[in-house]
Amino acid sequence: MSDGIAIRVVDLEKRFAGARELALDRVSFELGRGKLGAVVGRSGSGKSTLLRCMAGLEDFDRGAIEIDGVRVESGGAASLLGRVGLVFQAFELFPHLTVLENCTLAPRRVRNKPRGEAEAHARELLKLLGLENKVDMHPLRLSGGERQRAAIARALAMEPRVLCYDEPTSALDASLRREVSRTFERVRETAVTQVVVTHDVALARDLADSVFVLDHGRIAESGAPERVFVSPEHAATRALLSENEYESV
Amino acid sequence: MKIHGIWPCALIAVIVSWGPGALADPGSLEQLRARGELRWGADAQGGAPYVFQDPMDPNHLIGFEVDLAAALAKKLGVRARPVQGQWDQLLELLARGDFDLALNGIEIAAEKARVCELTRAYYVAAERITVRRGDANAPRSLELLRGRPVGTLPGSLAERILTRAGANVKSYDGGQNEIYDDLRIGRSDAVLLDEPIARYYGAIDPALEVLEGSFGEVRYAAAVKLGDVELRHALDRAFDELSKDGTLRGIYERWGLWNAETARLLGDPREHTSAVPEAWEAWRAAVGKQPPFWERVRDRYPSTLGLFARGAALTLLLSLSAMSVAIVLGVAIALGRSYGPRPVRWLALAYVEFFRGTPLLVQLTMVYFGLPELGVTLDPFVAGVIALGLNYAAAEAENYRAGLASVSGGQIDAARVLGLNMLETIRWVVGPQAARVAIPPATNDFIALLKDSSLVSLVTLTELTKTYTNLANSTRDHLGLGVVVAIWYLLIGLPFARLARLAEERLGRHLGRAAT
Repeated sequence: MSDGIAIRVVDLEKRFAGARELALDRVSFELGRGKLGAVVGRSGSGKSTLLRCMAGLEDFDRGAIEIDGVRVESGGAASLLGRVGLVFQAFELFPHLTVLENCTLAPRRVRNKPRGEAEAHARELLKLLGLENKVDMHPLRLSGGERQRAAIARALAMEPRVLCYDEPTSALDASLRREVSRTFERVRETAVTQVVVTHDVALARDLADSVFVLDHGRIAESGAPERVFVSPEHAATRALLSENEYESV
Repeated sequence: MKIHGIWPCALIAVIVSWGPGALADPGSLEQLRARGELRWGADAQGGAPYVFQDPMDPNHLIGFEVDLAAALAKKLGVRARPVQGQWDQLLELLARGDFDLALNGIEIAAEKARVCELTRAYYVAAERITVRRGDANAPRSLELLRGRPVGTLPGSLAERILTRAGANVKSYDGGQNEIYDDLRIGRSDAVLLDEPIARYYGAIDPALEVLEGSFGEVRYAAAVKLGDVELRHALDRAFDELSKDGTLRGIYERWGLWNAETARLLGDPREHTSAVPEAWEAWRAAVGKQPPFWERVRDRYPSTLGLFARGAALTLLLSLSAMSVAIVLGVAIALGRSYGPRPVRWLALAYVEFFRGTPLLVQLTMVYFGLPELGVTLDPFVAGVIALGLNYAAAEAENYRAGLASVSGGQIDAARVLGLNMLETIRWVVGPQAARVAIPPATNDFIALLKDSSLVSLVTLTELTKTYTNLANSTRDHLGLGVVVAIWYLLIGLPFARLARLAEERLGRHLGRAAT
């Protein structure tokens, strides 16, 4: 556990009931503590399933997930709930609660933190993410970027070792990309390990320490972004790159 | 087992004491004496001259049977206490043990002797035909009634006579007043009913004519629970004594009901009477001609305030209790249906379909009259709360399920990822959002329940609607009092509608759609 590895995914296999193909096929990768990893791939490549497995929302059939040295095997994925943070594509903030209440709900109800302590911590996180003026607002009054940062603060309030993002740029205007990058940098300061699932090559290239290309439920190739995106070895990576070029035209 | 409801505790009492109970000891004369009161069942909606609310002071029950009951009770050395029950259900209520005797124009007939003990007859009434005065086509004999629309009360001798005569029988569950009103306005061509009714509802209307001559004869007796021979004998003796000492004759004369047939029944040689029928005169003066509406509002309706308030309090208490049951049960069913394992889902669905798909009246009848067959005898209020609560739980479950369905799966995922378990997720995330969707239909349901609660008059409770029908029948004032009772319903219903709107706004303020 002191080997500096925050996430170790070993031979992860997952098949949905009634499906012929595996959704995840012997997926293995690891990510060092405090690093930012990007899982890229086209839609249907299995990246969302991988994310849901890592967050504990979905169980898997074979293999293991190790978070900070704690190993979870098939049938035990639920034990990851509350330990791995997840920022949803649509953020899924609780609309009936204020931003602050969104951030204190789980620490208070799950961790039984006293209200004052939970609020102080939440305010700190919200300040880190530039939301100190929005604490008492309800989510529907926030802009898209603010909602994303609120969702990140909510996840960080549970002090997870790992924070995952599902397509962080897809729900936002292209003009907000720089803001997103800044947010990732700020989260990096908290020393949390980040996993970004995206089909946005530019985002992965600019921010990730390591890139994992997922194709048909398998890791097609992985490595540093400057290597993977500059001299791709796998057809899936090349296809993804040309798709992204087409999009940015 | 009989559960006496201290209302707030009643539900707990039911749960605690649910189980097979012992049958009441049929020899109840001693118990009755120990209790110090004779509980007698009658339907005040049946009207004059049997048992009805005094038109001049509706807070009092009057009628020749009220006088009779008082005289009987006095002979037994106890007080008389009337218990309200729907007329065509008096014998069932008697069998349940809701009162000691039924005394309300019950005809002596063979089929009744199988379900209760009948005392000796206390009155003989002739069957009288009433027609519209001046109606050239009026059917003035039984033969002429063939094929004509004729009004009467259901389950009566008159109804059987009419069926035999081939008349087009129109029987009315409501009050006797409506039967004669329909004759006057031409919905029927004649009415055949017992003389006391004809005298009090037909003869006082100048537009109607009660024909001379008897078309049949009916004897009234009191009924006690089957097997309670001891009480029956005691009542027979009391009737004998009341006949001998002239009490019965006095009562009948006062009410204008003395006739040759009853004289023969009681062995009284004086068939005719010259006594002034005070009570009948008072009735005629009070209801013969309806004063104008505003006069009634000024002079009469204030005295109904207490009765209506009591009825409204019962309606409200009953509805609130039933709604509480419906909400708790409805939440459980909705959760079971939305998130439970498959067998639970099926069970919840079966519950909803059963209670939504069968009439509330059937359910209430089963709870009140059916459960005693299994040894569970419920207090009327408790039975009403249970029947209404179980029924409305089905509707509530559907509302809440719609509410739960309106919260996206993503919200549930988000809560779970944060470590909240299912219960915490429902309590803190799904529930508050679902409530906003579920509150408006739930409010509608409460208002509907408020109105449906009038069905409990079936089980001896005089709530708001029953108060109205009793009063309307006693005073022959359906329209004016109808306006009054409508106002009462609005008064108790509107605050809840307003409250629900406030709650909805509060919950919806931050949820977008309602905000702008």
